[in-house]
Amino acid sequence: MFVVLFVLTLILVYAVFVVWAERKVAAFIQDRLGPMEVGPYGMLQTLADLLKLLQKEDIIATGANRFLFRLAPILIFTAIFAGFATLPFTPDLIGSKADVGVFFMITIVSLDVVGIFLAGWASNNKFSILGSFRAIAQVISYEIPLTLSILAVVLICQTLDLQDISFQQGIYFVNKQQLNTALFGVTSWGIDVNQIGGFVSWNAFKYPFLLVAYVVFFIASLAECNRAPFDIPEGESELVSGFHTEYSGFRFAILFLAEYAMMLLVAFLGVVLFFGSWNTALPNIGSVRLAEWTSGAPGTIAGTAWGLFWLISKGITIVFLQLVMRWTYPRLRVDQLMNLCWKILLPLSLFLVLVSGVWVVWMKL
Amino acid sequence: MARRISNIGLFIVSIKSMAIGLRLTLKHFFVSIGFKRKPQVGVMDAGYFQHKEGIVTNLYPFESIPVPDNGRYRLHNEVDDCIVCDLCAKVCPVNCIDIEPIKSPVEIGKTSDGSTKRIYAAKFDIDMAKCCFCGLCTTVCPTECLTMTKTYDFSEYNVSNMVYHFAELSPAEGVLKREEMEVLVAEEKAKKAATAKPAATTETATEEKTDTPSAPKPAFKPKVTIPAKKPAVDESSETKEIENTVAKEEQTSAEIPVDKPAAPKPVFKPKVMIPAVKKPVAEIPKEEETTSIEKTETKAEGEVSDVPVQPKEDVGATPKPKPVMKPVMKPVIPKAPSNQEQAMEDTTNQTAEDAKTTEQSSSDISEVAAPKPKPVMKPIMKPVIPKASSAEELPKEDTTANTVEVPKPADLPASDSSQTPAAKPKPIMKPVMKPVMKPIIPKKPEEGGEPNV
Repeated sequence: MFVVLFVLTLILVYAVFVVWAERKVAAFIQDRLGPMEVGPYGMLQTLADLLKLLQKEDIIATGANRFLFRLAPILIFTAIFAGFATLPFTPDLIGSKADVGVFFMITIVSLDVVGIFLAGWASNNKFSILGSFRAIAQVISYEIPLTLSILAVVLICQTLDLQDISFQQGIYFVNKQQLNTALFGVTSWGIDVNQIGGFVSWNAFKYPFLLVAYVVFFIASLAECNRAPFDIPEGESELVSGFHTEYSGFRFAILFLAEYAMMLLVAFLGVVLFFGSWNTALPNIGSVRLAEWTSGAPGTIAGTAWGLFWLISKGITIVFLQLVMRWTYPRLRVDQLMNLCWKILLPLSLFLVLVSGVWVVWMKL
Repeated sequence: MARRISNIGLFIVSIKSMAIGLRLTLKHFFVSIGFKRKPQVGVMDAGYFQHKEGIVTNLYPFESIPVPDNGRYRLHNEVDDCIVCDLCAKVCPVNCIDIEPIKSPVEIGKTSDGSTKRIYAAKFDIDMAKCCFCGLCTTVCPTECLTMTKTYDFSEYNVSNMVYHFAELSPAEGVLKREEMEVLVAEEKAKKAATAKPAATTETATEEKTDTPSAPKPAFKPKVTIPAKKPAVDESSETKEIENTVAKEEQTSAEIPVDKPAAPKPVFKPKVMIPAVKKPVAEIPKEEETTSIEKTETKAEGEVSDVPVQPKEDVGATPKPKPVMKPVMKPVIPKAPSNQEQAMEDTTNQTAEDAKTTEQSSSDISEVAAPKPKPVMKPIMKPVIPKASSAEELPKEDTTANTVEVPKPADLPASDSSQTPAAKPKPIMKPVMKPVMKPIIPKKPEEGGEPNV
């Protein structure tokens, strides 16, 4: 229960912050200043916008299917919110210690597609339904390279439990499965990454090809979030606003919140899978025990605090990268989108899965 | 696409271009969050369009790009300098200026450029919501009181707040002034009606003669400049005359002169009118309202004006004292009335202060006409007379014209009687133009002379 409240609070605070950050990043990239009026440097601008949004009339179009129309935002947000259930925030703070953590997250977040479809369908609006078509086609397509890139990590880590994957990337790892913890899998060097900790023990560093997997994962996750440059479901220049064209007020706020929560979720997932999860980024160097100094043992307050700090700071960094992407690259066409997915990312992720399998067998993890 | 992707070279190039793009945006981002913000470059700056670095945001309420000095933004009327001539309202293509003038029988004051104010602006509303910012009203404004300011941010939540009120009178004051004026006008009409009928009968015969001469008058106009010297003499003679005539037909004569000048030369009217009104209306303290009375008079009786009678007398008596002037004038009989008018003017200048004198002067004019040595003046005046008739036809126009002219005459008297001739051309121009143009084509030459204004 605590995790639910924690995650909800986290998402709300994050959304308020990141919406402001998005506007600021966009402004700075474009040599502007962005919001400057409300609060210091306009930091409270999002709060003002939210207050305004909540006061707006809740409009449901006459031709809309009222039940589905109301259900869609709830379904979308619930699906994404449920995705946080198996995400480890600290060594101790995790919603569910399900062994099938990653699998559960992928499947539950996929429900998002159903909500998007309902939203577009129930709106009884051609722009909404077109946006839904695109969103569904895009999300379903990109789920494949996304899942395959995750599968590569799962193959290497030999587990679906995100908490286990997290532990494997830090100094508190207890090797019960006799996994190969040597650097790059080369046991002859006698370097145990879990003794060094820090970025050295991260999957992306320990198994360099997983960095490529992360690129695939990142691109696919952008598409999953319907973020630019994969925001053709919204395509404001062609579809007004895509599947949430007809939404207003609180329901629109929920949809917006879900979108930003999804960004955070995939950012966290990427961090957990590839960049050490809640583990510190600083390695132990000889007697300079940076990794130990900047992390706390599981079960202690320090462990929780450091874990939250590292996970959130890494996640925010990824989110920042997502924001920069949005204001750097132009939107892809539908055909380009599909080409990228099916002809580049899918083969690439399949190849990475193959490499992972070979690596596991070859290195006798 | 597939072929392209299969091309490794192209793939690498595209990756490179993406990296370059990312680097570019990140560079802008980190420069922007630093403290390298360059000072704001305004549109007036020569390098404005070469401005490539730094934040381009203009924190508007706190910073603003300077606007051009001659930009057209919100209108402002300096009502203290406004003579309520109504030109701006007339020229406005979208009718966003609404003026309700109330004439004042006396001079209200002076504008900063010396023009005399004779009309209250009971209402001077500018609806900036309608304004198309063409700036025509500021162009026509004779006193430069209506200007376009640099204020461009004046949006309102309520459209009615876009109407700017520049009136100098409160609604209550406006009602008061209007009532006063109405009373005066009514009284004037009554008096004129009574007096004009008798006078008109005698004069009607002469009127015909006067009308005919009006056509030739334009030629005389150039001469008008000469008479400037004479006014001084006239004044003395006029005063004497006035005294003599006072006893005689004060009211009747007063009306006649009033009528004539009103239409053609509003300038003169105010002065003359004022005194005339006072005496006849003696009952009513509101002497200032005479200007309006004049107009009304001109309309009703002015046409039949007594002018013809006077010219006869003038021709006989006046021409003699001034031999030089007369010869020119003589050819045109109608000039005589003009002499009367001039006399009126002179008298007005001299006696403007005296309300009583006006009536006398009017009566004097008929009589004085003979004594007045200034034949030159007459020709100018005559052309105006025909206008009066036209003015009568178009009362509204006259009022506007009068309003404009009114202030000027006041200036003239203030300056000097001798100066009056120079000043005269101005008043004539505006008022005369409208009425004259329509009825008589030959009058146009006069207008050409008017450019002096």
